[in-house]
This record gives sequence, C-alpha cells and structure tokens, in this order.
Amino acid sequence: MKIEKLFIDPAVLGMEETETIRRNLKLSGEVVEKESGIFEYLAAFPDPVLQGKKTLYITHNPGALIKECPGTSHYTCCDYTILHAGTFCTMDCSYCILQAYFNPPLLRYFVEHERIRQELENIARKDRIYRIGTGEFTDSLIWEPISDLPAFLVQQFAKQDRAVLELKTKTVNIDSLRHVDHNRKTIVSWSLNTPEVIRSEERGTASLPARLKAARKCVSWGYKVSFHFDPVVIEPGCEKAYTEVIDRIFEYIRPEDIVWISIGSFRFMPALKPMIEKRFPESKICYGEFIQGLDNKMRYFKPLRIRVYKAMADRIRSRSREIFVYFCMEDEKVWNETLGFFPEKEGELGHMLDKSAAEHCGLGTGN
Amino acid sequence: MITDKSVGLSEIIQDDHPYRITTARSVDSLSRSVDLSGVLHPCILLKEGGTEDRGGYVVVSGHLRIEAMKQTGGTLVPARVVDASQDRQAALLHCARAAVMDNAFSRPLDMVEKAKGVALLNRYMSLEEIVKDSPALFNERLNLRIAENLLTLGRQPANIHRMVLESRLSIKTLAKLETFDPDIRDRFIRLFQYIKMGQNKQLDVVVHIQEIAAREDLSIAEFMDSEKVDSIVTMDHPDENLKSAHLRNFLAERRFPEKTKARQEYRAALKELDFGNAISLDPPRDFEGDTYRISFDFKTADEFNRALDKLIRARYSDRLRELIK
Ligand code: SF4
Repeated sequence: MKIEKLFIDPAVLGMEETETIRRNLKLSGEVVEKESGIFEYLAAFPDPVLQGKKTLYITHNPGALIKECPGTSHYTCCDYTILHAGTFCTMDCSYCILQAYFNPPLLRYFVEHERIRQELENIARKDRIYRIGTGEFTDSLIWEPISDLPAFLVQQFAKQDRAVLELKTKTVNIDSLRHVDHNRKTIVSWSLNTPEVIRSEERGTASLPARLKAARKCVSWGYKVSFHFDPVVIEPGCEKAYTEVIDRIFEYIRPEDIVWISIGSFRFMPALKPMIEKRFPESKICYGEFIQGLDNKMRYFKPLRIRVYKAMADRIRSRSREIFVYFCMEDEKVWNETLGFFPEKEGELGHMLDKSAAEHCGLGTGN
Repeated sequence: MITDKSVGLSEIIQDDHPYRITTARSVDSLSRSVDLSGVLHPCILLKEGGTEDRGGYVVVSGHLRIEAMKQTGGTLVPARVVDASQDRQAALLHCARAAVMDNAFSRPLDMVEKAKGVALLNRYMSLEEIVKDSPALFNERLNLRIAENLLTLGRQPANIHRMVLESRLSIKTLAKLETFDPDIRDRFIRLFQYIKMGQNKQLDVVVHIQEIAAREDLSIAEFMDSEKVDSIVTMDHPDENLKSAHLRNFLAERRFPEKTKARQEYRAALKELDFGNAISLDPPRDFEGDTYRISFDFKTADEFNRALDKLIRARYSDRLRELIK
C-alpha cells in the first residue's frame, strides 16, 4: 500500500530520520501540533483503518521504547522483548489485531535512533540474554523502503553480544540488509502461511515463494532466519497444506540456518470479529470452531489445535530434530501431546529460546 | 405561530397520521372519561392547507382523544394549533418534538413508540442531537447505539412492530437482520413468526445460520431452505419452546461439529462409569482448561455413602483415566 499522506510532529522537523523519509516518500508533509488532528482527518474516510495504512505520522515515541511482551498467565509465553519503533502496517491482513489496537490506527514512525543507541548500550551491560523484536506493533520491514531503520538496528545490534534482534516480516524488503555488518546478531524472520491463506487473508503481503526466496538470500548474506506459523488457520485439509509449507521451507533453507520455528493458531479478542466481518466480508476466518480461551480470547477447540500442531511438529521433526520448535500461547496438554515436553517452570521457554539464540548468533552473558 | 382554539372534527384529517407514535388501539376507557368530563387537555394540531373534501388539520398529538370524541359524538376539539405558514421547518420540528414529548411525559413509552418517536424526530434532527436531548424528549437518556437500533425499528412496517410488541422479535435481532438482503431478512422474520424465542437465542440462531452457510459454502437461503431446517420450522407441534430447542441444538451441532462430537463421546464414557444421576462429573469448559469438577447430591447418610462407594470404585476405572486424560 502506498503512503499518500504524511504528517509531521514539529518536534522532529529537520531531524535526519524525518528528512530521509520525506525524501524517500517524495512528500513534504503537513506539520501537525496534535495527533487528534490526524484522527479527525482519518475519521472522514469510509474506512479509516484502511486510510490509516496510507497515512504516516513521524513523531517521537511518547512512551517506553523497550517493553516486555505482556503474555498471559494461562498459556506459556516466550518472554520476548519489544522494541517499540513504530506502529501499524501498510499491508492488510484480515486477522490483524492492530486494526483494533489503536483508535484509529495510523502508521507512526518514531524518530528514536539516539534513544535506541542508548538503550542498547544499557542492555549490553546487563547479565542476561535478550531476544528483541520490532514486529509486535508493526511489520519490522515495511519501513525499509522509506527509512534506514532496519539497517540501523542491525548495525546497532552488531555492536554487542547480549541481545539478538528478530526482524519479523511478511514482506521481501531486505535489500538494505545486504551490505550491513550484522555480526550474526540479527535473525530475519518470516511469518508463513499456506498459499490459500495468504491469498484470502493477507492482502498486500509477499507470496510464500517470495518470502522463502528472500529468506534464502538473507542466509546467503550470513543471516540466521526463523519462521513463525502464526496464525495457523484451521479448516478441513489444513494439515496437508501446512505440512506442504514446511516441506517448502526445506527446499530453500538448511535446518542449521533456522534458529527456531514457532506455531500459533488464530486467536482473537471478541471485539475483532465485527471489524473483520465489516472490513473483509469475504473472509471466513472468524467462522472456525472457536471457543473462549482462559484468557478470554477466542481460540480453536483444543483437539483441533493439537491435531494440526502434531502434524506440523512431526513434519518439522522428520526434517530436522535440531530445530527448536515452540508454541505461542499454548498450555501443558498441547505441548505434551504434540512435542512430548512442556516448559513448565516460569521462564523456561524463554531460556530455551535464549539458548537457541546464543548458539546460532554467538550471544554470551559473560558468565 | 401557536393558537388555542376549538377545531371541528370534520376539519381534522382522518386518514393520514404522520405524527402518531402511540401503539394503543382501544379507546373504550378514554371514551367513558371524555363522555363524563370532555377532553381535559387540548390536542395539538398542525394547520395544513385543506381542500373541500379533506380537512386542513393534521393531528400531532391527541390521536386517542380525538378517536374517543368521535365515539362519544363530540364535534369540537379543544386544540393548540401550530401554523406552519411562516417558518415551516421550525413548525414541523416543533410538531415532531411535541408528538413525542406529549406521550413520553404522560406515561412510559413502549419500544415501538420510542422507535417511532426517534424515526419521526430524525426527519428534522440528527441522531446525535436526539441522543443529547433525549431526557427532555423521551423522559429518559438514550445512548447512540440504542438510538440507532430504535431508528431501525421505527422505519419498519406495522407487521414488524407487532412482532416486537409481542416479543417475537428483539430489537437487537432486527438490527442484525438489517445487515442482510431484504429476502434473507424476510426469511428470518418468517422463521421467528413460526418459532418464538428469547432475544439472545434469536441472535444465536441468526449468527449460527449465517456462519454455517459461510463455512459450508452455501447461501443463507439455501441453508434455510434445506430439508432439515424446514422440517424443524414447520414441525406440527404446539410447543414452540420444543421447536426452538430442536432448532438451536441442530444449529449448534452443525456449527461446532468437533465440539459436539467431543461432548457426545464424553457423555458416553461418563455413562460407563455408572455414576447415575446423583453424581455429576463436569469437564473443563469447552474442554479448554484442565480442571474437572465433581459434585453429588444426597438427602440421607445412606445416599451419601452410596455416592461415595461409587466414587471409590471409579478410582480404579480405566474409563475414568481415559475421561480425564
Ligand atoms: S503484516 Fe502483520 S502487522 Fe501487517 S497487517 Fe498483516 S498481521 Fe498486521
């Protein structure tokens, strides 16, 4: 999706990051004193969410730059750390939670190179491993064609050995990563789905072969990669479709270049359903066999999740027993019945992921 | 613009009631009161042109009083007459407000009356303005969502209003039905004419039918015309609750086949444990959590001991282990 309208916070006017984006977008932009002015602008459109994907606001991040992923008490969390570098996305997936997160959602680029530098210096002094991602509130690489953010992050992470950066994307915007000295401290990561789901639910994203080709290129540039099957969409015949995607991965990538593969099925806050029905009337994604989970989100009936996960995990294992496979937000029974173990202790899954990151990316805690 | 005067019954338009919001039909008691003491409060009339064979006054409020007067043989109606010849828009807005307020401040309005009131006012005011002024107009505070639903209802024909008044159709269901094509909407209306059910159940039925059709690549019409749905809807049975339960069970099974299967299997396995009716062993809700719950009723020490014996016996049962795996 093309950015059509640019708003700029006066506080970031004239800053290098701002000027780079202006130049790349070929838009001079409109200076706005208050964000509420942009909300009024968006509200005048028939689909403000869609317009928010074409409207960029360059500003500072008013809150914390580094946040721990909130997780929930009922399902196992991977203890990820979020680097809040921007919000929203130029692609348009029917299931995207960001549609309902911000009101109304809007592309925000945070001019924060200096703060990021400082935060990473602090992290480098700490005695633990961090897995940090920018893909929680935005797609990590949508910014690549208009800013130097991804390359800047890769360079900054390369300077330390406590934290690994995971750039999670559904794009193929990788060109600027090519000649950067990454020092193995960046994992480039793709969310994967079946060609059918990509076609029907992930508007404006790269195709499956394009994502895998991009991953192969990154590997050829020395990067490690990871894959996330999230959201797995459960419908008749989906086991076959997902295991075929797994086969495709190994046509492009060697197992030793994969740091981890995560699996998580579609889950949603009940409030998202009317939004999907309105914005994506052709989508059937909300009409699976959902039940209300213990975290109050809707999730697939557990035996269905187990069936699909088992097929997927078995297929990955048949290709390589070394790749670390984990579930996003699942419980003991699901882990045990599909992977045969459960990271029971608090923080255990996080430690396992840290270990995989350390092995693949050369991290250390100095202990 | 407003004058108090007596207006002849023959001058009042009898076949067009754009301001009528009351749903009451019978004026018998009111007729007796009018017979005894005459019309105590003046009606509000709007002065329109009028022709030789048609009166020139439109009733704004007091429809029932005028009806009662007719029954008692009265000829002159005490009225406050609104003249629209100067500022027509202002006069019409005044009439709409008066029609609503005159009713709302003399008795609680039913759902259809409120809906007709909102629809009437919406000709001259935005919904937001109606919501803002609602305490003064309706003698109660409305919020925007309720006002939107009322507007939807207010614009419906008389048969829908009747269904709402008879609790055959809920306003929430109606709002949902408005999102469908008219043909589909009418099919659902017909279904609810056949089978009466509460508001939440009605909505569940609509949502399940819509989602089953989507899941199975059928049109809603195709699914509703299917033999099974048709046989339940047209079942020759006087008990509407039974028909409603049949329909809802069928839809739930079709919408959630795996969950239904798991429940059935669980029930069958439970039966083999031979707990009988006194002991219940409930699985986690939707089989999602990991906590089961057992409970039993007893009236005497003997019953307590019998239940306990059964539970102790179940300890060694493989069935129990399979059930709680
Ligand atoms: S790519 Fe990610 S962030 Fe972008 S719309 Fe899809 S789900 Fe949302």
